[in-house]
Amino acid sequence: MGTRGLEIIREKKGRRYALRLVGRLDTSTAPQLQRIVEEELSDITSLELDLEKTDYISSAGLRVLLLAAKKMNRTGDMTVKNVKREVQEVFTITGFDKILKIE
Amino acid sequence: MRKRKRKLAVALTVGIAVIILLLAAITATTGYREFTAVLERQYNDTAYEIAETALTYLNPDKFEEYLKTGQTDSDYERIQARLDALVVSGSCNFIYVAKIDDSDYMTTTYIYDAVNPATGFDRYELGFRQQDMDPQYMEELKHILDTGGKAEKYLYSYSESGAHTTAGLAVKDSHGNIVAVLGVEKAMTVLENARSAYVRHVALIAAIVTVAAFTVYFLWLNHMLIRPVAEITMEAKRFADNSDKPAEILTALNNPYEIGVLAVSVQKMEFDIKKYIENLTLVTAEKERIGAELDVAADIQKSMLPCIFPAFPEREEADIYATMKPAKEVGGDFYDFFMVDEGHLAIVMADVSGKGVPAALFMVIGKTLIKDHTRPGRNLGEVFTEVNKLLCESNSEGLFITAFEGVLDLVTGEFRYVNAGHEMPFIQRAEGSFEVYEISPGFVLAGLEDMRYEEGSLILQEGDKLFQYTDGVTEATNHRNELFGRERLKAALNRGRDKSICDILETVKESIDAFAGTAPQFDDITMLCMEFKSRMPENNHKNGAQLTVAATVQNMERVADFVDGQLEAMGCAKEVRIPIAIAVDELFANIAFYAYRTDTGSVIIRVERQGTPLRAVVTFIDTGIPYNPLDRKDPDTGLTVEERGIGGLGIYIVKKSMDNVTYEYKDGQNILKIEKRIECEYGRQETEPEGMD
Repeated sequence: MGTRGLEIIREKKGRRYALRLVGRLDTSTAPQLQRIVEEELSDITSLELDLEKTDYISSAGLRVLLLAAKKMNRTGDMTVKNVKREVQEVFTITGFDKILKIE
Repeated sequence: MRKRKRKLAVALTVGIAVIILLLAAITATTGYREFTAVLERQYNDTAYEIAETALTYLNPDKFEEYLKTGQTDSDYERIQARLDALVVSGSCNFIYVAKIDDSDYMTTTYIYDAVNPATGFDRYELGFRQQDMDPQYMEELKHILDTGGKAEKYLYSYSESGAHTTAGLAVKDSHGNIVAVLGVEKAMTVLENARSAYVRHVALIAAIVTVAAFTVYFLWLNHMLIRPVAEITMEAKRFADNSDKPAEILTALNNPYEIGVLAVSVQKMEFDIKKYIENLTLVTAEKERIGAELDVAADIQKSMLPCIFPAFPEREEADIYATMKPAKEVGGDFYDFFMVDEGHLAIVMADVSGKGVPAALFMVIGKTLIKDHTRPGRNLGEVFTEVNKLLCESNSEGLFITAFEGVLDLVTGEFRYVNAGHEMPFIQRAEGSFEVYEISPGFVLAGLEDMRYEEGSLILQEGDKLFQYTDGVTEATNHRNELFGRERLKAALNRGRDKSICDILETVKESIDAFAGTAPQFDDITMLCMEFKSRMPENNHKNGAQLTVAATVQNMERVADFVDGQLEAMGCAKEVRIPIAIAVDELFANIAFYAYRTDTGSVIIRVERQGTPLRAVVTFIDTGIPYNPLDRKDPDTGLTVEERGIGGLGIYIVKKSMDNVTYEYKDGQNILKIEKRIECEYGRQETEPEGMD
């Protein structure tokens, strides 16, 4: 499946934060994103997650996404874009398609 | 033949009888002698008194004339008549006066001779001369004639005329010259009679006293000695022949002498022996029971060692052979080998310090712990670290184990090992010779609680052999107390290196036997030889493969790569591989986090391609706590962000994205199986109608 693990490419413009997730967001890689969510979102009003290069997301990844969503709910908003089919399926199954703002 | 036993009673009786008779005889003889002597003296004295009387009658001055002329006169006749009267009144045989020829003291010339008519002898006339003097009187006569006194000894004899005594006195003339000898012979008739009466009386009294004394003494002896001794003897013999219950008869003897003490002592001894025998019987029985149990224990211990060869007849990849020649006493050597999983073969060689039951028990614990902790994919250093910790907890006796464990990966040939103070193995590379493989020995097991053990590894090639042993091999001794040693072992191994592993061990064994000869074997001799014959194909399962890893999150990527690699090799499309990858992530994470709690265990992940319609099947097998994730309630997916929890999402995704998910708990294993239909990249499967399920 090509890329091993997860690479997170960060792009910060003022209070806007864009993260591109390259690879898979699963048990082993979710902690990477969780750290960002916990430590770097305090003064962010807009979080954008680009999943164009995200191969799949497991429940561990969903957990971090939910954490991020909850956090952003209070300080601003979070959007998810470029969701691939495989990821979309997981969102659909879990109902995340309804709670996440997907573009 | 048995020597005939003599009877004490007979010996004592005869002895006593003989002694009493002897005493009686001595008493009688002494009495007889004394009696005779007294009487003889009495007679002799009487004879002398008569002689003294007779002497006063004589007229010695006329003797010369009488002898010269041969004529008697009235004076002579008167004296003769007085002497005749005296011989009768004095109860003598003879009274005579004779001149002794002092040239020979034998020739006597009679002057007077008075003969008692009762004797029937005739008188010797005056001047009658004869040489009739008894030679035994000669000395006495000489004494009488020389000194003029009496005979010093009593003169008496026992002739045919009966017992008589003779008194002899010198007759002196008026000038004091000895001119003749006066002899008085007196018969001792009373003595004769008295003596025979005395003998009769003494004999009779002696006989009565003997019989009486003997009877009384014998009765007393019989009661006090003979009978008790006989009883003690009989009782002792009875007890010796048949040592059953001691009889009470001995204490009933009640003998006041040493015999009584002896009887009581014998009785006590019998009771003691009886008690001792009973005790001994019990102890012996107990000993036999313990011995039998020890034998059973030794058998159980022996049966704990795998002993069926070939060990894995269905496996072509490796062969193994092991022997153990136990020393006389139950020891603590052990070897073990087993399949950790499909692709891994473990060998163990160990030696518990000490001997006997403690070592054997510790061996059982050690062997069980090592095997139990050797789980698929587990680091052997960790295995020994943990086993060591557990052994330390149950080691009150201060025992320790030297142990070597190795696990051969039959696919790659990687041989991982850990050594706890044990001998270094020998390795033979393909066609080469056996060489010691130098590894650090490490510390013994059960020595220090916090000891950490490190795993090492080497690669075995096809055809390589590994030999491992216990110090019973190198420390086998011969009569000169030399050790077999590593060099001889190496030489023996290389003598047999081209043979089968079974024959290699046989060669080493023969070599040890030849070296040791008849010297006793002190320690168990345990050997194991393993040959890596051929690699196992990586994909050993028909249409599938499996991986065994420790259930830790660190292995997540390895598992993911393995499963995906297999699916890719099966030609699965991305559409299949990604949901499966997610499912694997969910399920493996679950097992890693929860199955073994704080412990570490392993997980087997099997990837297979099965049946029609073609499905990819991934099976997770773990031996953790029983847990069926499918029981979990599905989460409510209709909630808002704030309301959503995260629990149960993973398994929900799996359920939803897989075509089939099953769980079963079997033989201590959680077996979770997920299935997804394969939509082949080549598109062939896609055209199949869905309704075929």
